[in-house]
Amino acid sequence: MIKNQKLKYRADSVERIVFSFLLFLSAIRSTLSAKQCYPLNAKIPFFLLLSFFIFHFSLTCFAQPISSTELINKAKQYDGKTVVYEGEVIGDVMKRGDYAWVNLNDDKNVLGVWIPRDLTKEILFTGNYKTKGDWIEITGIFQRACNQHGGDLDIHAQTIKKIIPGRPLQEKLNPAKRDFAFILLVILIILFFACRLPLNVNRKR
Amino acid sequence: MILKPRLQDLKIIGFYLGKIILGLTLTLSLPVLIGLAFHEINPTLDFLIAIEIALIFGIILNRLCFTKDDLNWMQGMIVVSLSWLVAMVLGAIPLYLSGHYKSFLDTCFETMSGFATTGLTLVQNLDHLSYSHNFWRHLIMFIGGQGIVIVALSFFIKGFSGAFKMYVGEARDEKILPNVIHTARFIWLVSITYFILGTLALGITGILNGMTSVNAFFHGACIFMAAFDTGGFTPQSQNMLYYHSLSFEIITVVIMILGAINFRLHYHIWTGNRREIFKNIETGILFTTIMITFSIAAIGLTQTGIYPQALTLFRKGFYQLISGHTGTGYQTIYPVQFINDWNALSVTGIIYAMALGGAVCSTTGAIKILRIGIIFKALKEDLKRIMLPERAVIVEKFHHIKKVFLEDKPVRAALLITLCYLGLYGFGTLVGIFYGYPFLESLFESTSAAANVGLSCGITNITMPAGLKLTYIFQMWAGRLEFMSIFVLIGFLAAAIKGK
Repeated sequence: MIKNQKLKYRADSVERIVFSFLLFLSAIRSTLSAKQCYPLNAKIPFFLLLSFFIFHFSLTCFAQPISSTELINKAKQYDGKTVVYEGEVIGDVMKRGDYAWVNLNDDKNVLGVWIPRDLTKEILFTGNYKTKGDWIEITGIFQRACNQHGGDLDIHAQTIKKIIPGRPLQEKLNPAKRDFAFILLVILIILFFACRLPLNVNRKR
Repeated sequence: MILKPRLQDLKIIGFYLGKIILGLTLTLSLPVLIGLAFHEINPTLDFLIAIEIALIFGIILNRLCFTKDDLNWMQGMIVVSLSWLVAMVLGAIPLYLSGHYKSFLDTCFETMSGFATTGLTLVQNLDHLSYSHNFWRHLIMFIGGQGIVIVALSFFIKGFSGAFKMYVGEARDEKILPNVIHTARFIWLVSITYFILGTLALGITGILNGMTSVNAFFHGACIFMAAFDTGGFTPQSQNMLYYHSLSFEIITVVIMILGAINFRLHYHIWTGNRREIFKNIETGILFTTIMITFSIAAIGLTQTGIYPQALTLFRKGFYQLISGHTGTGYQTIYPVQFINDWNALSVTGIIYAMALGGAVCSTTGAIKILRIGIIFKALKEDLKRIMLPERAVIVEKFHHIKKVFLEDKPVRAALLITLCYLGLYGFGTLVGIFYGYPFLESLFESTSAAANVGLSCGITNITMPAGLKLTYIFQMWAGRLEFMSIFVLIGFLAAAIKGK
């Protein structure tokens, strides 16, 4: 289910890009047709429109979440830039004054995110053995070696958005393990008595 | 002429191996308690299965090889080297059943890394691992740090003269008390006392840092076990970066240094002889090598300019360096940052620190600083011999618990072991290069594995070739046991094939 939700989210992002691209094409078309019909000062709104869509398009691309591997491997390139990162909240939300540390796992690595405390109210589940943590998206400034936090590689988040809510994981007894443990127990009991018996006989003798 | 081993040799080895397996079985029951406490059903079953398998093997060996004969040196050494391999396989069973490992080889890598207190890990999705499995990962570091045989000696094998042979085989050639069993128990006393203090300190710090109390104390206990035994596993995949805490880093630095100190020195401190800290050759050399290697790393980091503030540079550089020097392997940077963000000079500083290690009779691996001190003293003596008149009587001495006059035998032993370590570092590097990794990265990871450190520059991951995994397993095993018992095992196998 989570995978489907993730795919849906990604499909939404792709949809946004495609829509922007179509708008961009229509803007070019309008500009070209305006060139034929209208004088130069009338073209200005079309150029503005074109610039807006180009800008919008580039923004949409930049707003795509970046993987932790990309951020760690190309830390110098992203240093000081605003990035979008998403992942599962794992461990504890560690509150420190007006801020909190949240560690986000994007299935490859875990990155620490420094986040205003009031934004963490949205986080209800944190990942561990018995819980799937909330999958959240944050936008913030990436730091290769944060001076405020002793040189840690981290992200100072400005916004937070819950993508997939977390949930408790139900643990079910694995019947194969149970049966195997039982068979071994039987072998062990037989072995135990098999080893004991001759010793008792020897003692009697 | 090589003599073929007798059946009686095999029986004695099998009998004591069986005893050690039975000892290990009891340690496997501790995670069961954790599993029950946290209501983890399947993880508890994993440990019950492992206990049953271990008991079956232990009982069979004890029964088939029953003997009243005592161990000789060769048998003692073989029992030790085999115990570590058997512990690796048996300890891997519950972890493999957890489903967090790609293959059984990966799990064996993990357990050997744990028992040998290395800290290189191949676990997947660690952040969702159960408390009981996570506890076991750290407990094996505690057991391995004390020595698998020491555990059995302390609790499960009642006094016999072969104990000392196994004690030596586990790379502990210094007795603290006249009796080996008492020595083993003293090591446990020190470890348990520090365990309580360390867990409390880390747990309270964790709570103050915003962790829940259960997690804070669980992490505190795990981190203490891995730090004091200079292991390097952590309960979360981010390593020490998870905590984002200066106080946590300071406490772990103190614990790592305590773990790198000779247990004999601990004994003298405990019995009130605190001056020994300043007089002991190991303390002086440890301080000197830390200063030298940190200077190298710091110059390198200054060149990169990644940490413009001096305090930040010190915090990052010093932590990785102490972690490497004590053989712990805790990191406050991501593995690839060593290669991407640090330069060759700073990485070389860390490699030197890893290669040197901590004190003898401690939980650290590597060459160890007493040997460096002895070699340095021998070099000084030889230089004096050349420079002073021929008639001059040259005597070199040093203080290690008592005044020791330098003789040829310890110099020879120190040089031999140093040479073996250098060979082992080189061997792993060659295998790394063979698999296509660059020289510096191969050297870094190989030194880390052979010196039982656990710092990684990114080579160690589930996708690395099986041949390299096997090489690192061998390096961790040989490095932890300091070669002798492994050479004896190889000799024994050769004798079994070629002997008459």
